[in-house]
Amino acid sequence: MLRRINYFSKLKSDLKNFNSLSFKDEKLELLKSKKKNIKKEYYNNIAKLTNKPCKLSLFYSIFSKDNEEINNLKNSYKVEKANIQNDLDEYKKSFEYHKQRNLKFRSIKDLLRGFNSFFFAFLIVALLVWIIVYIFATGSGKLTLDKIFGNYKTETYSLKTENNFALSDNLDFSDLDLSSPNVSKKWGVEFKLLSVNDKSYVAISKVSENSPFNYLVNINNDEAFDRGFEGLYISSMSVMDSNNYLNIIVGQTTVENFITELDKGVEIVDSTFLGEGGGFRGSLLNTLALIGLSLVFAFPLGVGAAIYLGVYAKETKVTSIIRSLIDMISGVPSIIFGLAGALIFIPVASLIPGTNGGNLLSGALTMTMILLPTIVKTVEESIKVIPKSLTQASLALGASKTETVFKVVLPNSLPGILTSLLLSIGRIIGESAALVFAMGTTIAEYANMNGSNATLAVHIWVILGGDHPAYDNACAIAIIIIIIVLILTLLIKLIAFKMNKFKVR
Amino acid sequence: MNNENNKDEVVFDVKNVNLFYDNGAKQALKDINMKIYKNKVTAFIGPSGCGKSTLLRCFDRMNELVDNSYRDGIITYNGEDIKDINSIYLRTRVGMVFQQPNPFPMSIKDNIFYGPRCQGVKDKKILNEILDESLKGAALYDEVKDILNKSALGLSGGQQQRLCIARTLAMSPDVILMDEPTSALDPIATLKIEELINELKKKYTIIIVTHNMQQAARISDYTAFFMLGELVEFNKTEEFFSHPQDKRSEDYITGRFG
Repeated sequence: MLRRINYFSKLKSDLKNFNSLSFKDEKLELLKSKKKNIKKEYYNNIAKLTNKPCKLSLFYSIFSKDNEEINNLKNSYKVEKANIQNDLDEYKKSFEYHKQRNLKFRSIKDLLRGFNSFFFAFLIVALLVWIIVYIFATGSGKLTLDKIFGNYKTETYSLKTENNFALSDNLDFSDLDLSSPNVSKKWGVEFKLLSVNDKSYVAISKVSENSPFNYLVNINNDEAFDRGFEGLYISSMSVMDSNNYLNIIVGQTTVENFITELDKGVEIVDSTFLGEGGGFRGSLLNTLALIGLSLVFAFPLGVGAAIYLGVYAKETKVTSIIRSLIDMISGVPSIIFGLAGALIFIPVASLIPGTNGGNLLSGALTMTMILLPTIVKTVEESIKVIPKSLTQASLALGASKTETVFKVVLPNSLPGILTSLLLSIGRIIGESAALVFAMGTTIAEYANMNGSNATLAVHIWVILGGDHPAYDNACAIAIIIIIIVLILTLLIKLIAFKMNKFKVR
Repeated sequence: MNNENNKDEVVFDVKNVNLFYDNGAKQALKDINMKIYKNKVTAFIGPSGCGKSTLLRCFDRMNELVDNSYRDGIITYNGEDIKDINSIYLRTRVGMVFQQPNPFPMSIKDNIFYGPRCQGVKDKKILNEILDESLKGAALYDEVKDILNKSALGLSGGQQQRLCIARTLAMSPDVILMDEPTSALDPIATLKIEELINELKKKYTIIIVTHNMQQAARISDYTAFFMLGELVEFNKTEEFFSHPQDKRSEDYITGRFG
């Protein structure tokens, strides 16, 4: 930072002292001073002749036309002046003069350019840093392992005590801290407050070994509840007291209130436990599945086409048309691919029995279309820069053309292939517009082929779409995306480094 | 040409060869007739663009890789028209060394193994025999025997060129074509390659294209002088340089042009 400040102050002082810098054109200065000297001398001479002060001598000389001496002086001055002027004009026309002048302008230009490039680079870096800091600051609070690997849908459990339940008074709850106000001494349960969507609910933090809460059953089918209370909070609880009055307790209250109300009851008739939900696991798995499936389709096709264009194809009109088509496709907005995917690939994907509408397959096929131009162009470029001498050497050693492609051309175009892989993965992770149409926007719990499911990017699109955009959750997903891309980039750099060990660096 | 040459065995016989580029717009070779003799070094000399490299590439059919070119006339290899020989098989019999050292970006070992592996040799014992033999044949063995698994691109220019020769020897060819093999090398490396060529000619037939007339005089047994696609003169090297038959060759040798 200090260096930057120094740079700024240097720029400033440079601009300030600009005229005093060493851009003096010595010859020009010499000629100019000569001209001035001649003029001065002329005035002095006239002043001497007329005995008048120097300043008035000029006027005087105009009125005394007849004075021969003055006329002589005038004429000689004119000749000298013309000579000097001539020299000056000639010098101004000369290359040397232009060089000197240009030096001045060039240094101004260079200063401006240097300032420009530095300033814009700084602006861009600042913008990037701001975005990343904003994302991390907003999203990191929401980013927990529960969130990443948790369900998206809210879990709901309706529980009651067993049939023919009778609460006994002398149960041993000594494994709990009975002096704490958060413990119900009657039921043997420790409660806490859980904050969900900025509201606090009562939740169960610990259940005693002998607590009747261990034997709660599902209200619909009387099956035992064995999930545990981890991550669940209480929405409401209906408790029957000893006088057979039903008391409904709302979960959105303080722990003390809740325990007071609960301890009045002897039987839990109905209780609703909710899980938080809003996890990204399904979208994360779908994104990874889409990356895999899309690359399975796009990569062999793209590399094959690149080999054809780069090695086998002769330069004809057909290949030039193919090339310009590829260029054109890479400029088409992705939403149009989404449209094409919806029209062409969803019917294809629906042929899988048990599926309906867009699914992972239609999404992957659409992504293949989007990725192909990038892969073909990147790999073809890297094939084209391989020295012809290498392929010729291979052919001269009795290798066939196919062997040459697989043993010389492909290994040497590996950097390009890996680059295209990286670009493709980035594109798949970031794509949302096309997938909204071609794959659907339903946020699934696991990767599946059955129907519409969202990737991480589409997940962001979905949760930002409603009346209450969840910016913090979106930022949490953005952090996951950034981390995935970072890991993949490092991985591919590592592979490229390992594979390149025979290249001399 | 001369009767005394006939005792040498003919490897390549070139008859009435014309070669055209750009769909016939440019004629690179004009009615070439010559013979290449077994276990001799034949040097092709001439000014740039005279067709000597083009003719060299005809011998292993590398000229066919150039788009829009065609050749007529007959070139026979040991009495058989090379157009009837499978080009891949022909290139295993007729090796080629290029102007710029062009080892593959692999280890030194893999560079040597490249050709044999393409021919389906997988036995490590045979491969190692080939490795030793070809490296010794190219006078490179002592310099690289400890760094066989290192990158070939780490070698010096002269070593790389000898590696390329070794790579060619690994195919156990019959003829070695050399396209200005020393033009990218310094005098010491050049000297080494020239010594190597003198060794190699005991076992192989060598055709070398060179811009350096001293080199041609030093190492070759026969010299062919080309100009503007024509074969001006083809003779034993001694006679060619001492008594050039053609005025143009005399001018070229004495440095009056070219």
